Amino acid sequence: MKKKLNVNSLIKVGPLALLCIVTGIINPVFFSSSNLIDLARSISFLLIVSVGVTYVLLGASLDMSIGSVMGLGGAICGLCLVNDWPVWLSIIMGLLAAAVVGIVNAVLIVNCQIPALIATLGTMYVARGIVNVLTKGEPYYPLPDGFKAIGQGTLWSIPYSVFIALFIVIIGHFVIKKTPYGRSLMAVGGNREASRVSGINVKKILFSSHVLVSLLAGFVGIIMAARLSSAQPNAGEGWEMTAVAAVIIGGTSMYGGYGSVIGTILGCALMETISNAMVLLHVSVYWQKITIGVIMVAAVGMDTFRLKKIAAR
Amino acid sequence: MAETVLKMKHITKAFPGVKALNDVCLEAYKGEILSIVGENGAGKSTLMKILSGSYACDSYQGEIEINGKKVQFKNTRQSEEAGIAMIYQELNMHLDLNVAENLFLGRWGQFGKNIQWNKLHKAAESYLEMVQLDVDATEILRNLSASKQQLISIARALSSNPQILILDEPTASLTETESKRLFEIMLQLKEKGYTCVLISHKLDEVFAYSDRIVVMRDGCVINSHERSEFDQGLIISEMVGRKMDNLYPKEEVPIKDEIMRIENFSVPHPQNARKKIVEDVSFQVRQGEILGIGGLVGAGRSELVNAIFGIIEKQSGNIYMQGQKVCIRNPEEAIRKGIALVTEDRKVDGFVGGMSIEQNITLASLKAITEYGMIKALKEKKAALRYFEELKVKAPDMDVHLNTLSGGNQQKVVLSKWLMTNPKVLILDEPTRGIDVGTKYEIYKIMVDLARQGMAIIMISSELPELISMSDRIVVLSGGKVAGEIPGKEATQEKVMELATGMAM
Amino acid sequence: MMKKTLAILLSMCMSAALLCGCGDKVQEPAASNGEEASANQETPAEPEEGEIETEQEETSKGDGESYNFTFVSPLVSHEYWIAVENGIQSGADEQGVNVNVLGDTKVDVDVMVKYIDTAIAAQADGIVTMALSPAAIGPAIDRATAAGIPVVLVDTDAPDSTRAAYVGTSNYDAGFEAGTAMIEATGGNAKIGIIRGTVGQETDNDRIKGFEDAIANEAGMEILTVEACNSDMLTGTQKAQDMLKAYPEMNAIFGSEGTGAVAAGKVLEEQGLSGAITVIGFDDTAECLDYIRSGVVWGTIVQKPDFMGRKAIEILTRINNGEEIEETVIDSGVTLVTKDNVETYKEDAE
Repeated sequence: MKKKLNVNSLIKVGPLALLCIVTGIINPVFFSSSNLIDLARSISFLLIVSVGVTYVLLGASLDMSIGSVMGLGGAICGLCLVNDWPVWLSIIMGLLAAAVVGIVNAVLIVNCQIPALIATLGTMYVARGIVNVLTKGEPYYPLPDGFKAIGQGTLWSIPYSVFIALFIVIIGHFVIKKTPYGRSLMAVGGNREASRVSGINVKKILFSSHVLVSLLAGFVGIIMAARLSSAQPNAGEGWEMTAVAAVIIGGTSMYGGYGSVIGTILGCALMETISNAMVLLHVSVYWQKITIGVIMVAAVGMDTFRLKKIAAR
Repeated sequence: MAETVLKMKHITKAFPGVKALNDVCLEAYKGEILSIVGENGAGKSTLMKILSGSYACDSYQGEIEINGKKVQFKNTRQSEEAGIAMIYQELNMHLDLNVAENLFLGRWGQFGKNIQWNKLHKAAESYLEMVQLDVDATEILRNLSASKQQLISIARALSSNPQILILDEPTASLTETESKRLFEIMLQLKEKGYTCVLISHKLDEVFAYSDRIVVMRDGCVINSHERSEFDQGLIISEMVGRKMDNLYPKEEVPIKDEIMRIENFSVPHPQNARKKIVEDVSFQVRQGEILGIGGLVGAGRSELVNAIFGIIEKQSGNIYMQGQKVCIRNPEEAIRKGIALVTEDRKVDGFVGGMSIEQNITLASLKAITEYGMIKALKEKKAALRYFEELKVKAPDMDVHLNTLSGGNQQKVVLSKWLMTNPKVLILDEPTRGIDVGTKYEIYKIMVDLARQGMAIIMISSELPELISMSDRIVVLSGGKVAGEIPGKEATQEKVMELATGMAM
Repeated sequence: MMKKTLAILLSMCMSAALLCGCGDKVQEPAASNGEEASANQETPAEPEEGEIETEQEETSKGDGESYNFTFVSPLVSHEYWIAVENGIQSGADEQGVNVNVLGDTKVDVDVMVKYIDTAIAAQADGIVTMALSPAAIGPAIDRATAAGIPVVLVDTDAPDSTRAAYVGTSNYDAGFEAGTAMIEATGGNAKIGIIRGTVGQETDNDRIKGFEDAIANEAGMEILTVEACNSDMLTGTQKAQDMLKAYPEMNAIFGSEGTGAVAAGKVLEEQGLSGAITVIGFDDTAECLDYIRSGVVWGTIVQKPDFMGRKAIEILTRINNGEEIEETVIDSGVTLVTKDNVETYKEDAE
């Protein structure tokens, strides 16, 4: 079993490594420290929320509202900041707003048993609508320096967000692999009924995964606003698709019960590196979408193929 | 002597690391019912897959002859054209199409480029007649019962005008009456000259209806027996490779005090809340006792134990553990009170297929292997290994996914999971369904051992011989109510059926 | 049973929320959290398409009847369209007419068509709207005209329809103006990177075309690349970063929609490159103007949404008064905003 893991990981790291090497050869600027730092920063933003998405997918659920929650977290935080609330309080308010959406999602999906896709599409619209109503289409700007530091500050030239992402990834991976909660989550995603019969509190597990992903999304929205020194009304738009794509490319199954946070790191790294490489390689913007689409289909194809192989035995 | 329609000569097929078939020779005659029996892994399915063309002719050694002519199948269509029709265990028809459309699935072209539906329906009717199925050809498949769907898949097989029908566990999901009907139809087909090759674990059916029985073990054909010389004991020992004196190793075990009592249990009907699927049921079970629960399908047996365990909601009733009233609202509470339940359909809610054996065994006992909020790998391995070895699970190691194991081994893992919770009462719902003879025996032995150690066991079974031989006492349900109780020594199949059907003889 | 009650309760709350949404745009920030929290609990059950805002504005009129016009906005919550709406309000005040505003909080051409039909059914005296998609809006316009209701388009035209007049910027001309400005700003020598909105958007296409034509005859001006930021600020900064690295010879950036120049500005400021790269953008968001003041962005092309709105109302009033309109296409023009006129351009445009 250990052997199988290694082959799988190789398959995932391979394309990324290849891309890096090829890009670096053609345009050595790719390996320059400033480019790698920028790349690390953009990966960190996607990664923080993708860890949450990984949890949701592992539980065989779905969340389409994370993009809007990003915008909401940033907007509520920005709203407080432009009204001279202290930075720490504004951040908490932003996270609180995100958590509320997460709780609403969880109640709809777990308690009311509304399909996750429908429920989160609904909250996606509502959250974005609230952002629009509050901001009236204009960003909250400017934001105080103390706040900006969070998104723009660096330690040893490495942006804070990278450390934050690393921290979240380590904890996220540890919880899944080593805690009863993580084990229960995998079981719930693998076979919900069997988990319930085995005494696992399925409702609690799913509930918490939805609140978690919303919190992480809100957090990213706040860091984003700090990075841009402004809370944009359409921040996070479309990010739900990118995050889900990154998680699936990283090897987490859409059907639940299979996957890992480590895989998500690779998925995020691949997505962002492609974007970076396309520009550095002077590839037309039109091809970028095609490339990502092809990779996504390939990734899901591999996932389905793997499941078929198991079923055929 | 009947003519030979099928000859399989020196078939050998290897998979990486294991020889699934080793120089197998098989013959089938016109107008006979031939049964192939053997434990899981004996090679029966592999042999049939070769015959049906699922495994192409270049993936194995050996030859196939139909009516004396050598044939080679590259795919299933070629085998169908040669006159072989396969009826699978899992129905592979479209539930949302109607009967006639399913019958001719993939072959609608014969009714014209613009399909003439009338012709299609008429043709379908003729095949439905052959299986004595009285349904409208335009009925949607989803609306029909499992046994009717099974008959339609046979009708579909017949519509390709085969010589040979291969049926893989055809009665696995059918009731006794439905199975009887199926076999009557098989007998009629036999009269008409069809050859039926039957693969089944249900030995009583095999003995009742076959003309010949071929026994396979470990990829080889051990022996073939004519109807006139059927010897159950001999055939079973050939299947498992050792002498089995006794199919049911029940032993007398000291029975102590009452450990669980159920009083006035009622459960609402899942589809019709005004009806009750379990009505005012009361019983008790003692330490060391094996209590059998008998009854027909739909009598409410599974619903009763599911409600006791907290999987579904009860309407009313009390549970007493060692005299103390307990409240059980969900499985977690049931486990804490010392109850364990091996459910009826392990694939649906028995195990998590994508997880390893080790992880499945510890799934209901995560607290026991957790220290300071973390799962201790060593503790987990030790705990799982104990049951892995005790129950003799056949697998290369504990890291393989449960999806890769045979039904019998999966059931052992599920059992291990529940044993790890140290239950006082172990409820088994159809514990040996779909499991081969050898593993069945092992599970019976485990049950007896557990009873000897003081565990109370409740067993629901639709297999009357099993129920009668293993139970110290049998409670029979009929229409949701307790129809009666029979002490083990006085139990007979007739007595149980009387109570189950509500017809006194 | 619980599900049914919950659903009914939620629908009732949603309807109440919708009604409350009318006419109340201003919210106190301190109260907003409580409000927003309760709005969250009230509204999530059904996917909402957006809030419908309706406003009635009445002004005292002099003599005679007061006309009722309807403005169908494509995106009520966007800065730009709010400016158009403000222009319409001023126009209504000036002309002494009433205006009813309809619009969604997200861009959806089907919803716009629905609103136009609503205005037709309500027998408005005139309709102001924009041709989000000439193919889709055109028939609706024709229906209005057939019902005797004149339609004036702003910002984007549908020249093949029966619209009475069009007031707007030619996106092509605006882009051309930007190109001319770029020549002036860089002295005719520039290696340019373009950051556009979404690939395929008509407005971007036209503006970039105009830009390209403006610099076509300058030997020293070259477009190195076009990247898309999908109107997302963060993506814009990432693309700007990447472009700077991929094209070390780049010394100018053109943002063909509102986000691009501001995103580039942030990156330049961060990396201390302000001044080394000449940036010209579009639209006058607060951030953009601040960057112009501080010199990070050289200039921006500003459309005149306010003017568009006012002119449209004026034209509708004149049509209703029986006048003939000779000029049916009115170019509202663009303003190049630079350090010189950043404080005064708004009044100058009046």
